[in-house]
Amino acid sequence: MKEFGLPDAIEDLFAELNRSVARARNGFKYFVGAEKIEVGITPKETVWSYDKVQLFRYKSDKRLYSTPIVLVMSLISRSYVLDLRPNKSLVEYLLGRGFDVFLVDWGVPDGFEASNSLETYTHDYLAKVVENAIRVSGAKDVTLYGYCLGGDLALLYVASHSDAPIRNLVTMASPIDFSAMGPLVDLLKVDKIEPQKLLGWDGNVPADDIANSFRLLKPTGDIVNRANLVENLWDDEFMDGYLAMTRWTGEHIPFPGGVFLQIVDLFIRKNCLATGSCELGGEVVSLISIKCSVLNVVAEKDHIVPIDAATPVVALVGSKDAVELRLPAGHAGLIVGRQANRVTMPKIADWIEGRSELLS
Amino acid sequence: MSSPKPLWRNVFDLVEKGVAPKLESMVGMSEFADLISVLTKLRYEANKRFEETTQNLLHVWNLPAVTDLKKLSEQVSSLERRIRELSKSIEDMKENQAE
Repeated sequence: MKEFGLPDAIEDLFAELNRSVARARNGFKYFVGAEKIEVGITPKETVWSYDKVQLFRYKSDKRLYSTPIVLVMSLISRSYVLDLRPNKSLVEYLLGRGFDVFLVDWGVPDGFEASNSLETYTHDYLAKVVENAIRVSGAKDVTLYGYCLGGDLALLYVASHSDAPIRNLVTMASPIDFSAMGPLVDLLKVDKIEPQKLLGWDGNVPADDIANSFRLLKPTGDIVNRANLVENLWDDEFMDGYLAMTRWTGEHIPFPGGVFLQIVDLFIRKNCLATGSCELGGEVVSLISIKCSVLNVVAEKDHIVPIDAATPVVALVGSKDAVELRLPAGHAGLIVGRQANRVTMPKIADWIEGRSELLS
Repeated sequence: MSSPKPLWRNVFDLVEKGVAPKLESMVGMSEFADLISVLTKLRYEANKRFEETTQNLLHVWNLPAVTDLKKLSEQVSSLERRIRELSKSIEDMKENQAE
C-alpha cells in the first residue's frame, strides 16, 4: 500500500488532465484535417530520371562506405514509406550508419505505363538505375535492396544480368512462392477472375482496387486502427507515426496492367519464381545464376506476403553467401515502427556493413 | 512508463480477437471466391454497358467519350515510346561517331 496516497492521486489527476488537453488538441487537428503531415523529408537530389522513373541520392556528410545502397521500391505503393518521418526512416538510418543511399521511385503509372512489362523494369529501368548509381557515386559495384515486389524485380534483374555490378542483394518481404500467398491471390490462380477484367480504363489496375484487396486480407484492420487512434490520441509521437502511415496506406498507386497480366501468368499460375526460373525477354532467367551475397529478410507476422511465400530465396539462388533473417514483424513493421528501428534496421545494416567497401 | 489499457479497449480487443479470425477465414472460403468472381464480372459488365450507352449519347452531340480518350491515350503513349526509341537511336549513333 502506498504511504502517501493523496499526492499520487493529485499527480495522476494532473497527468490525466494533460492527456485530455492533448487529446482535444490532436483530435481537433485530425478531424478538421489541419495536420497535413510531411513525408519523405530527408534531403535528397534527383540524380537521374527516365520516363517516370527517378533515382534519388540522399545527401550525407558522413559517408563511410563507398559501396552505395540502391533501394528498389515495390510497384504498388509510394516510395516515401522508406523515408517516412524522422526517426521512422530506413533511409535516415542507413545514412546514419555511413552508407551512400539511393532510392528508385517508379512514379505514378498512367496510360503510358499500361503496356510496361516485367522486362521494362528488370532489363531496361533497373539496368539503367544501377548504371547511373555507379556513375554518380564512382563506386565499382552496389548493394541492391528490394522491398516487397521490388525484391522480385531486383532478383530477376540480377539473375538476368550475370555481369551486373552487384556486390550484395537484399530482398525484404518479397513474394516468391505464390501458392502460399493466400486467398486473394488464389482467386487469380483458379481462373475465377479473368485478370483483364480488373484493368481500369487506362489499362492499369486501379489504385482503389489494390487498397480494397489489402483491406480484405485484414477485414478488421481499419477499425483496429481507429481504436488505436482513439486510445493514443494524447500521444504526439504516436500521432506523428499514425498520420504518416495513414497517408501512405491511403495513397496507393495504379499497378501497370501489362506487368499485372504477366505476374498472374508467370508468378501466380505457373509459380515460376518458386521453381527458380522464369521466361523473361525471350530467355530463361534462373535464380541459381545469382552468385553475389544475398540476404533475404522475412517477417513472421506478415499478412500481405506470408512468411512461407517469402522464404524460398536462399534455397533458390546460387550464392554461397546467402542467409535468411527472420524477424517478428509485419509487412510494414519491417521498415516502420519501434521494432524496425531497434531490431530490423540494425541487423540488416550490420550484414551490409560487413560486405561493403570502406571509403579510402 | 506505459499506462494500463482503458476498460473499453480491453472489451474491444476481446471482441476483435473473436471476430477477426472468423472474418479472415470467410475470405478464404470458396463461397467468398465465387462472390468476388460474380461481383467482378457484374462490375465489368456494368461499366461496359455504361460506357457503350454514354458513348452513343455523347457521339450524337459530337463529344468524345471515355473510349475515345482511352484510344487517344494509347496513341499518345505509343508516340512517346517511338520518340524514346528514336532518341536512343540518335544517342547510340552519336556515341558510335565519337568513338
